[in-house]
Amino acid sequence: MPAPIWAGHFNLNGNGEMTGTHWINEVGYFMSPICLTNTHSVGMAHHATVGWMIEQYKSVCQEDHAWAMPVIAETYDGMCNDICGRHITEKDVLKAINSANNGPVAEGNVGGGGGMQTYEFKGGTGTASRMISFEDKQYTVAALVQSNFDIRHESNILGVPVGKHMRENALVSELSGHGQGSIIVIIATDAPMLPVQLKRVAKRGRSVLAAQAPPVGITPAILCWLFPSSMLWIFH
Amino acid sequence: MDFINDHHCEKIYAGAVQSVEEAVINAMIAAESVPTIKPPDHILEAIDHVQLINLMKQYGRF
Repeated sequence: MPAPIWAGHFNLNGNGEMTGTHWINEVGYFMSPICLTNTHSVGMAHHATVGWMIEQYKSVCQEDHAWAMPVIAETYDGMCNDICGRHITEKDVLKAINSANNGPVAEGNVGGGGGMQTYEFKGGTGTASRMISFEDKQYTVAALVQSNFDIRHESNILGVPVGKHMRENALVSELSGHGQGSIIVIIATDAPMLPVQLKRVAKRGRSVLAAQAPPVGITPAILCWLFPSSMLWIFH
Repeated sequence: MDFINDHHCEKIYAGAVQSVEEAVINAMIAAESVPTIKPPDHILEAIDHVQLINLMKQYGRF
């Protein structure tokens, strides 16, 4: 197995799935790929990722008793994707993991973000980072989201009430009568931090709702995850 | 093992919160309109960049 990476986990609303987090909460570290997908493909993603880990860490998994408990998280894209068809295959997952790379991260309708909505606009995968410094050292904090939450009129960007002005084509509430969805937030930093410190940062991932849409309803699930590393695995 | 002094956590918090907020906006800006499947025959529209920029200008944020 690779060297464990310190991690912290927080969820604001339990209407969502992020596997592997019982172990994170127990020991404060993890050692697997992270896969983001749709709600009904969590099982396949988990199955495939366990297979990848068994092959990747053959000596400790097959000749010894190391076990694989990967982190797989989901949001629901049933309005724009045939989620009940469960089209994601083991091959798709392995291809995604094996093609993970350094460099710029694709955003928008990519990976698990393909069918997601945000404030009833098309949403999906997004990323951003900040450089910070203290004690003469510079660090990076970065976030990756699979954004699939909330209703148009609550949309607020940089303090501008976008949703109150751009009211056309608010499809989710037009079709269902209410907003819905959730968001997965993954935060990574190269600053050396303890698991308890990481968990505190993970809690701040919920601030996206405080900043952009004050109420936290029943459906929006926020699953935040933080680990000190620059490696992310994403797939659709 | 190395770990930062707790006093510096606030800078990490601020960086994390700003990154998450921007990441959500980036997801919307990068996304493209897609057709719906259930119910079918609708389009989930991507946010209109020109309209958004004009709105930001109106509020002095661009």
